[in-house]
Amino acid sequence: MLPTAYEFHWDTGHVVFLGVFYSVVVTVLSILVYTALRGRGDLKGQRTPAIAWEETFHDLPADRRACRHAFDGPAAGRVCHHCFDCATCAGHPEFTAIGRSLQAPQPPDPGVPMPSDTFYHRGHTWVKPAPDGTLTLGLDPFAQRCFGHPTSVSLPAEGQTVQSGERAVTLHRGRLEARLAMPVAGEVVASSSHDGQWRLRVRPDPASASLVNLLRGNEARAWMTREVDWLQGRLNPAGGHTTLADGGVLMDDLVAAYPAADWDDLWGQVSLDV
Amino acid sequence: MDKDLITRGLDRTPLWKFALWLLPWALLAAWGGQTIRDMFVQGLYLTNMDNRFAFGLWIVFDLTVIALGAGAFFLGFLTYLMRQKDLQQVLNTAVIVGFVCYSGAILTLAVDVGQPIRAWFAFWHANVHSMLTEVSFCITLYLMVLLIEYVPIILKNRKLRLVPSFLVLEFNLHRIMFLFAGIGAFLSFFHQGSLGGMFGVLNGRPFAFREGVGIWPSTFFLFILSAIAVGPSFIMLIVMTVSRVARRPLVDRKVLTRLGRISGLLLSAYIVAKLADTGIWIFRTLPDSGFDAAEFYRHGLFGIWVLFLELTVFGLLPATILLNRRRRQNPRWLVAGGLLACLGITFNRLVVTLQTQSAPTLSFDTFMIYWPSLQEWAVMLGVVAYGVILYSLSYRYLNLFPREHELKTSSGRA
Repeated sequence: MLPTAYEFHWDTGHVVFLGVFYSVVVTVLSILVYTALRGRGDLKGQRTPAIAWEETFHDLPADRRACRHAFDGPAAGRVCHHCFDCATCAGHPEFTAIGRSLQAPQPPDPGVPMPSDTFYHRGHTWVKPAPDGTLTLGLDPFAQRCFGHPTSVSLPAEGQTVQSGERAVTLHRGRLEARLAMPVAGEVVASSSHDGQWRLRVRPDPASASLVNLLRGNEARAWMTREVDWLQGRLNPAGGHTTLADGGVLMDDLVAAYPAADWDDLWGQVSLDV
Repeated sequence: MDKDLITRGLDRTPLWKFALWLLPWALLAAWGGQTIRDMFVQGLYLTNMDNRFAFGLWIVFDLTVIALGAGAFFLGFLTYLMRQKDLQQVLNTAVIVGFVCYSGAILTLAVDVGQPIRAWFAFWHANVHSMLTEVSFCITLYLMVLLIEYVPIILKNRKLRLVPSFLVLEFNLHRIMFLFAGIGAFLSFFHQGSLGGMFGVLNGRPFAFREGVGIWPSTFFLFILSAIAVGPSFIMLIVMTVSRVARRPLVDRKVLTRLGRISGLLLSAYIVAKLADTGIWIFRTLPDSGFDAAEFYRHGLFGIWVLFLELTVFGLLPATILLNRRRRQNPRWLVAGGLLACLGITFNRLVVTLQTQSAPTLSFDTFMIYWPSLQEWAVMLGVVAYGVILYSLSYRYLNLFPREHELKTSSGRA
């Protein structure tokens, strides 16, 4: 073996060449060991849901990652690079202030009920605070129409802790599957499921109890209008944009109404799980 | 089951059609595999290589695929270290093509060495005077790096990413990929160069021998330059071919023209360097050794047309096409330019390997010709088939083109 190989000499050329070679070997192996240790730390530290959310987020098409300030605010065309975590976005306070001063007009009715006391996650779940400090979670009406009548719903057990972004609720319909991201972190205190409809009651984690990342009011309506337009574009056989006069509302169980559409893809896009 | 493995929203051909596509390649790979077995059992006498032609078809093939696979390290370098983010769209393909090229080359080398079970001798009992030692070290290490770069692409498969440990490994590997891009560029730079240097230091072979800088002959630098010039073209051709076969856009058009432009610029630089090198060789190196360049082009098969073809049809012509903005916008011209560049590198590696050995070196020597045996072709075609199969499987089950879904939906398919 080197350096005992035949005709090896401790001269500059041999030492430099072999030194460089073994340095590369050591560097590659060190990086791999470091990566393995980091991975083990992530698995032990329960960071898997956050990593999964971050990974999926960056794989989403740009139009599914639109910044909330692009809906009716001052940042048209802006794409989010912060996994919808506005607390980590340097531009969020500034855009919020500009948005307030602009006094955007009332957004059009998206055609689905959107109570003003409800918060919405971009993965189409809603959150409603209860007087006792718990939060009720459910599927928003847009997603209900897209998913129709799931044949099975898998919910986290009572007492289980869920993290924000964790795919804790799974819906099935034949071969179709939607894994829904949790809009908030906390402990599940109650769950119910009936005829494909589900509710979770969660005691929020005090460390991450903020609902700042969720949408409500006019902002949520503007977003939902945009979602309805997006879906119409995707379901339109001509592709692209709406070709008929607007004013209709989404019908129930779109899967049954448009069986030819690629619902596997659409369910993924709606639940931000590509 | 098959559909569950395919990335959401991507259209792929039905499984039976895919199986039909793979069948001929599998048969070819099986033929190659059987021949490799024969080679290991019966020895290298099945080839047409001999003491005069120690390097044959397999080395030509190795040198070619390693040059064509240079897109992997070069595009990784441009994307991660030079921050050319739009090239990210073709990076997965570049990594897989690089992996296929390097693993294929190493497999062929293992057969060529004749005793693969002693391949470790190259590392344990390294010949410290040989350029091939540097090549062996760098290629082996770089294949390891390519494997590390390939793993995250595999782990992003729709089903595999659901396994928490795979997801976390992929995530962490991806975060440090810029380091591997840097290491890959460093290793590739040296082994591409060493492969050229290996010929340039043959002072007993005046056709190949070149002057240079320090311990590195000019061929060291020419091999690097030519490899990074055609690597992007090869990736461009593969993406365009897959796009054509799949009948859908896979990357933004501007990325393809960008690859063509990069190739055009580097190919121009290569042609200038090659002309200068050829001039020095003809007017200084050879006369100093008592030779006349015309001697090497007097033999039928390797006439002066070889030099002409290499410099013009496979050099100046593709460089001119790829440098012209209007031509680049036309897919036919883009393919023509890329194809000529890739054929050029194949031709260059063939000439460097075979003409070097064909030309007589002693006064009683004669010009000799080598033709590969059927078994040599079988091994080479088997490796090509392996590459096609691996890439096809990767295209089907992995998300090779991050923009494919967006391009599909923007073209109006739900």
